[in-house]
Amino acid sequence: MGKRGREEKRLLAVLRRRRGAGSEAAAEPDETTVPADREAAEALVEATWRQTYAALFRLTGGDADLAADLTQDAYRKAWAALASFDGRARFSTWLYRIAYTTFLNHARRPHLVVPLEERGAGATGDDEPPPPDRDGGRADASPPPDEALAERRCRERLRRSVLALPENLRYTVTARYWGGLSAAEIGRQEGITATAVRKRLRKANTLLAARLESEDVPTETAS
Amino acid sequence: MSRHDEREIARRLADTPAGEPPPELLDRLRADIPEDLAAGLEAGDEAGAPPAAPTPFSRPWLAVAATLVMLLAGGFLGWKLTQEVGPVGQSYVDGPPAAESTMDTAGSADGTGTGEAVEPTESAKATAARAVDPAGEVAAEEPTRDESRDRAAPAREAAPVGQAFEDTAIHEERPMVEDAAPTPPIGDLAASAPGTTAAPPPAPPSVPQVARLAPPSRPAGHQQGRQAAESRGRLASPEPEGMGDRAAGERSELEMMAGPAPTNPVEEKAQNRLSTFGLDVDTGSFTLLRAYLDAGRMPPAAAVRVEEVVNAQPFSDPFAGAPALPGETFRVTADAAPSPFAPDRSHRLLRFRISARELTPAEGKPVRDGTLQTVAEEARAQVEFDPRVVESWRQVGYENRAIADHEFRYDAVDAGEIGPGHSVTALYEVKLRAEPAPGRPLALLKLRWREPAGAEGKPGRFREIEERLTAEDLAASWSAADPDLRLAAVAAELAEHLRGSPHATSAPSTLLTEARRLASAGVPGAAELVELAEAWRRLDVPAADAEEPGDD
Repeated sequence: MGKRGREEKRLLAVLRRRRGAGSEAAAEPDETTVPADREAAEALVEATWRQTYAALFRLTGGDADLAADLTQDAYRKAWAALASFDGRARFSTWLYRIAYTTFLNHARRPHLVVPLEERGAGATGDDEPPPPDRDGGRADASPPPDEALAERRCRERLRRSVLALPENLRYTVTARYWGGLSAAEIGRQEGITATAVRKRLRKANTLLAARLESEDVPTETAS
Repeated sequence: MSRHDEREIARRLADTPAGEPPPELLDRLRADIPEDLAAGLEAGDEAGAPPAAPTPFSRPWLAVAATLVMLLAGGFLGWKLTQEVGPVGQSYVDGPPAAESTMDTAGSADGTGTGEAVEPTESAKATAARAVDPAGEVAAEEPTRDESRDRAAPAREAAPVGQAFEDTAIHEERPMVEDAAPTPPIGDLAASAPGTTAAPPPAPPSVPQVARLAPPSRPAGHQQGRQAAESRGRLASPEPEGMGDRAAGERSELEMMAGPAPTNPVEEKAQNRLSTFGLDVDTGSFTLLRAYLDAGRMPPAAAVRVEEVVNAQPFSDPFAGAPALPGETFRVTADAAPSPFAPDRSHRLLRFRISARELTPAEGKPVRDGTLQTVAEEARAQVEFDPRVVESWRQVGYENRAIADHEFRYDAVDAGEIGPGHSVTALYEVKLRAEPAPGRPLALLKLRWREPAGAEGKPGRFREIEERLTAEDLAASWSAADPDLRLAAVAAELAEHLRGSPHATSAPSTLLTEARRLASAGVPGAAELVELAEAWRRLDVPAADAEEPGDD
């Protein structure tokens, strides 16, 4: 557990110290305990929000607004489920799991389905807040030249392929590459060894390679 | 050698751009930290299956202590939640551009009214077609993208248009509390001011009772969905299982998107109070399925569009005997009744019929250029349900015409063209919380369209009108319902059966009986539906097993 992990642990300890006092604080809100919790919670947010957002940004295929909304959602869920955090992995690892689930639940909501081609795959919400610009408001604001467009298509194809992986591989790949988690961290969270995680990654990458190969198009620039 | 070797894949995955988070996101996240983290800490245990992998207590003493603490904290949480609307709730009230709302009836969007102050006289017209007061229309401004992007509200489901009913947040945040807490009589609800809380502050309920009933403060949404699905058992596509227990039967995002012919899901009010769709007057699906059934074959399920079958019916003309007023483009009929096809008595079938005027004599000249004459372009509708009355809803059909709620006023979105004399019927199967009190609105329909370009080619302006559906528009019984509504229901149910929809739960005999009843009452169109229903019964094969077209 690196420096960041230790800091997260310390902050969580601050939060958890209140656990025993929770009932009293609840029955009779205590001005002195809440700010301390809050401070720790804010520090946790500050330590993790960029990473969480980045993961969701990648999961949603670069839909900035949706990523921000899902980030907010994920934290809400995290606060509500804080007690289930058991500390076997880092808070940020646990948080990634929540963010990932939040994204999947969003993507699955059947009534939100619109063709992927027309909009960012994430921007499917019909009850979602403002959508991204239809014309290229993905990662970059200005209409990209052909090359950038091809690159983006390529990325989108890869993203879709990732999302079509079997669940355990999908989770592992996104956690590692998009969530920025180490294999060891993922292993701790999942209750498997780091070697098993790396095995999953290799298997996933092989599947992805095969899949992309099979639907390869001339615009592919990876050679 | 493969251009996509593993290493390359890994590199590309890691190189996916991460994006820069908007700076205000941090403030949103900070603002979302619950005041009572301690309670949240405990409440999470109640979730049973929290979003992350559930972790059973490893230390027995902790389990005992936590059980006690949980009861106390859970009780407090439940009580607290009934007391206040959280930050998200507030955002519904003072967030999005409620001022844009174009209410022409009393109450609702001003944030101070009770929302129920609909004049009884206004709503007493029941199912009769109502001429929309042209004065109630506004030349709606073209919204800027920025406007709709405005996320002053931290709520994720920022209200895209003016919200007519303002207390959803309560439901959104704690649907289970609401179910658990004694529901105040409707009169009380009506008297309470929206924007504060639904119920007057109750005395804190006894702790153990609430601890049992209070929700895990906010488990992942799928849990609610699941509970609801289980309790009702008719969700079109039940929400996925929690991540923890989802090892098998995975469906990827892509598979979901490419899935079988979609049917609109049952919407929990808590999740989504708005239904937005483009007006569609196409009736081709009906012609097609008639051709199939006449030929003694089942139409392919995917070719059956419920809304097209409904819109193909020869409903009565709302302008008959009451020609369009100057400036009146649409006339809206709104009514509802307890449908015999509904799963239970708490359901109502709601109907909005949107009828376009005929051409005026001046316009009625032969059309040049072979183009179709329209009276409205980019026409779209948004129905907002009052969560205090409506527990859940499902739009019947229109799966392919859905528009994102926030894009209702995004005029670049493709919507429907409406020709003169055309009409569009939108049906909703709605589950009521309770029998609505007189004058109480159930749903509000907003219509938005662009007038056709003028003679000089100047683009027409956008206009909006609204129509309310109130308790007075509810027929007490099916036999008392407007024959058009009954005909629409029969057409929709037949289509649902033909396409093998999970919502087609009524017995075929119910459908036939109802169709014959209408036919014997001389309702135009009913006799044909009887024939089609009989043809379907003779084939007696599930739509899913029907042959594919193209082999003859």
